[in-house]
Amino acid sequence: MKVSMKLLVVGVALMSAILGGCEKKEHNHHQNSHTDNLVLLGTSYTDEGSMKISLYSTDSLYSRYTNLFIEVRDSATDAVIEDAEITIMPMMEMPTMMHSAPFEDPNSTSAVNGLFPCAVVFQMPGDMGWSLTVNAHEHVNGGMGEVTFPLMVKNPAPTRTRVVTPINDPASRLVISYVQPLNPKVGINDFEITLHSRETMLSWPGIENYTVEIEPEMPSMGHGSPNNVNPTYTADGHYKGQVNFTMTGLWRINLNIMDGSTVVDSTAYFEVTLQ
Amino acid sequence: MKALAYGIFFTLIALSAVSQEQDSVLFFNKGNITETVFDVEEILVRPTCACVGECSCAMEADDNYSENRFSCTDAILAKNGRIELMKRGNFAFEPVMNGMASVRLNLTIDGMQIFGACTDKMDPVTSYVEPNNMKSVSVQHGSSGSMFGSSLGGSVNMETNGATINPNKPISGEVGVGFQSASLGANALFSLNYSRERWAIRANGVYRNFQNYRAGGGKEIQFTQFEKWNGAVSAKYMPTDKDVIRFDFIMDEGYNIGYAALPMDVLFAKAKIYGLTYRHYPSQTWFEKFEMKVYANTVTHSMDDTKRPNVIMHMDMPGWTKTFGGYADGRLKFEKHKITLRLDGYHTNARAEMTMYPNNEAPMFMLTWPDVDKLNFGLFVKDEIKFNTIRSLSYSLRLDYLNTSVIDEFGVQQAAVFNQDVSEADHRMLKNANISYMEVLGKGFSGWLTAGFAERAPSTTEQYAFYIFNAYDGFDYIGYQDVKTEKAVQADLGFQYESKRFQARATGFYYHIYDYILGGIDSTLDAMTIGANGVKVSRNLSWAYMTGGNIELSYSPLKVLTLSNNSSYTYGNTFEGAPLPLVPPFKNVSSINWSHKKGFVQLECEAAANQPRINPEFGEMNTPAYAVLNIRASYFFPFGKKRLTLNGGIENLLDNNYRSHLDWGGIARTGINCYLNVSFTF
Repeated sequence: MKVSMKLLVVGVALMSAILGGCEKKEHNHHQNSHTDNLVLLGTSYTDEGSMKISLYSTDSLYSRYTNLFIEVRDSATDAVIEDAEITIMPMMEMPTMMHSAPFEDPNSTSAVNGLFPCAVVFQMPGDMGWSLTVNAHEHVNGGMGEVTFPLMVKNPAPTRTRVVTPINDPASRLVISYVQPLNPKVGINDFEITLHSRETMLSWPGIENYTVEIEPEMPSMGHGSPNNVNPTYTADGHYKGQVNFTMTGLWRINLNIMDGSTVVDSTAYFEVTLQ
Repeated sequence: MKALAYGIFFTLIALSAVSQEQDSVLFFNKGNITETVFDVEEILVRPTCACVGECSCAMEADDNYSENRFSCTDAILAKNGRIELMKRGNFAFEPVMNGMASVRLNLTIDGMQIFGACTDKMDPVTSYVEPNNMKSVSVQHGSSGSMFGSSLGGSVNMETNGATINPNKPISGEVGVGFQSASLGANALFSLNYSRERWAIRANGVYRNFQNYRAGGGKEIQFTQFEKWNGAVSAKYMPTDKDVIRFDFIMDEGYNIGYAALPMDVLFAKAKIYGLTYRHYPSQTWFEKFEMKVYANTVTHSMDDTKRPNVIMHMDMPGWTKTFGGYADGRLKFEKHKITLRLDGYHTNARAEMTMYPNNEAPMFMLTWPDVDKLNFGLFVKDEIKFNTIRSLSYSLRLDYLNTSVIDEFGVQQAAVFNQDVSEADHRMLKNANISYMEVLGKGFSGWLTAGFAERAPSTTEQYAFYIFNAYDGFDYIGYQDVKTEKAVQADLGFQYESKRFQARATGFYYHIYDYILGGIDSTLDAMTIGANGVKVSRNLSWAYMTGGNIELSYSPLKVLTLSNNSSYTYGNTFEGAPLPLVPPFKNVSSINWSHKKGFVQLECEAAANQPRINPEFGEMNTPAYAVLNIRASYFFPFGKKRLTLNGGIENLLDNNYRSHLDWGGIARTGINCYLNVSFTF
């Protein structure tokens, strides 16, 4: 009886150890999985507030509309903090001047899978000069602080953001950036761009309620595609529509951007290649 | 065991069995219309066989027979007064019957469905059966041809020779060569039949090699060359006197085929056709014949622009079709009724691709036929009632179920760009009905009247074409899956008179077509092809009609002399009064034939009126009238039962520069052409 009791105790202990081990393993796995397909751009401790902040993206950085993901951890326990107010500020420092860039702060204080998604339009490339300052106020311990990541932004091929001088306002600048389709296919594709204007060097707000017309064409053939849906304003300078491709190959999506009936720009285009 | 060993070979012969086809041969040749089907015409490429059923016949030299074997199948078809040929190069012309092209016809080989793999119709089915492999062509107009499938214009079924079981003549065959001057063309052909008591095997082959031809006036027409070979093996085995098993294989390969009227040529066109037939002649008097067949075929086609000058961008355009199917039919006889029942089915897949290669850019790829599967089941019933020697009536019904689906998701996505959802299968029921009455009106004088209703499903191109360029009107074509089934109410009328020296035959037809399928310009769409005029999308015209007829006259003032004349006319209009495109003008062929026991001389004049009734939206040009003179002669030298035949002639004797209205691209036809064929039959 005693023996069997002992065995039972040992058995239960073993079982719980095994189960516990399994659970822990799964938990760890779960913790990492949300960054598995992302590229880590940097990790740094905040100046104050005891946070360790990591910056991720889906790829290394190019001058284009870029989704960024911010992870906040308690610097003491390394626990992921999922409730925080995050703001970001991209900055380009050049020898003679500095300017910011269009950006989108995380739109919620709750993390999505442990990450705070945000976006920046890097309107020009730069091996040095670009930085992103992340300001965090976490709601678990109440810590506040910020961190700055130096960034390297490469020039993508094909071009994915264009800075043009508006016909109707030569003093300003219009930033047109390609958002999707990222994997264009023959058929109907969601098409999305962003429009931002330069108010000041440090302020690049999204533009509301412009009219955007698109006209896809195959430059080497001279033909287009039918039934495209012109992008319309959704939020934060985003315009969504549909672009249709009838075959693989190189397509050029010509843009005509208007403020009401006033043409703002009709020179910009984006090229996509369907394999 | 022996039977098993021979089991892959086959054949025939129940002398008592009277096959339908032979009946119709009799009808046409002897005017014995009370015997059978007045709606079947046979174009004889062989002399009439004296026996009926599947017995063997001596190969008597018919007037045109030897020459026919050097001709192309399409040229033989065109001898029918209601068939014209649409020409795009110098190879494989597309048959047009009653003013309707192949899309409205049902073209079969031994009852087998075969679908061309070329989106530009460069490979009509008629190119796969060479004349030295052709026993007969059965041409049926309108819905009376529905035994072989649903169609509007009618059906053309080419029956291949097959092996002949004739133990009295174990080995027979023919070898021959021919040359012609206009295109420095050479033809070579052979056939060989080997027969034993219960089985026989036949092989035949043709090789043709033609350079560019010279049109009237001597101008060389670029891109009209071609090279092809065709081989066929047929085997028959007769395990009993009442059972026949037959296997057929045809292989056809064409290379470097020029298509002067199109922007591209053909690199190669290949077809493989397999058929296995079982035929049974039951002992019961009411059950004449039972036949079952399974078949399969593949067609591969590849276009080529590498030899053309000024090609802006190289492109590849391969196409494939794969078809398999089968049928079972039975022929019953009850007193005055002769009943044919047939159940058939086929599955076919068509896929065509287009890839363009711009410099330093990714290739541009699309599916011009988006991998389309068609599954069709058909039921056919025909009852021929012979009331007496004067009157007879026949009626037939056909019902088809057709399921069409796009199986490549790429194709579904492509079509979505044109706001078409082709992800769901397209189902159609097709109904065909026909009733014919005929009566002997007097001595040697008979008449017949046929009324029918026909439906045809849209073709793969009409439903799913994706930027298929039509060089005739210069438009890119886009299909429309939901295009309505085309329907027609039809009437055919005919009279025939025959006396010892005089034969006359007149036929007329009127087809009222509802939901006529024709591409319509969609000005909102951009053409894809560089230089194209725009885009046309399949649509239904409310209605259209075709009417026409032909008159055949033949008079023999002397036993050795025959004068004959064949004229035909077709007229087609849309409901808006606009002419239908590609309708042949009035055409007349007259000939004087002097025949002798061992040969003949023939002078022929082929003439067509101009065709001012054109459809400018289809890019049609007014075609001027023309007339050409041909002279032909034949003579044979007997060597016992073997014979050496020479035939030759001069076509377009006056070297006229002319074109037929149906020819694409305004390209002139062959100028003066001398030909000589030598063949040895044994």
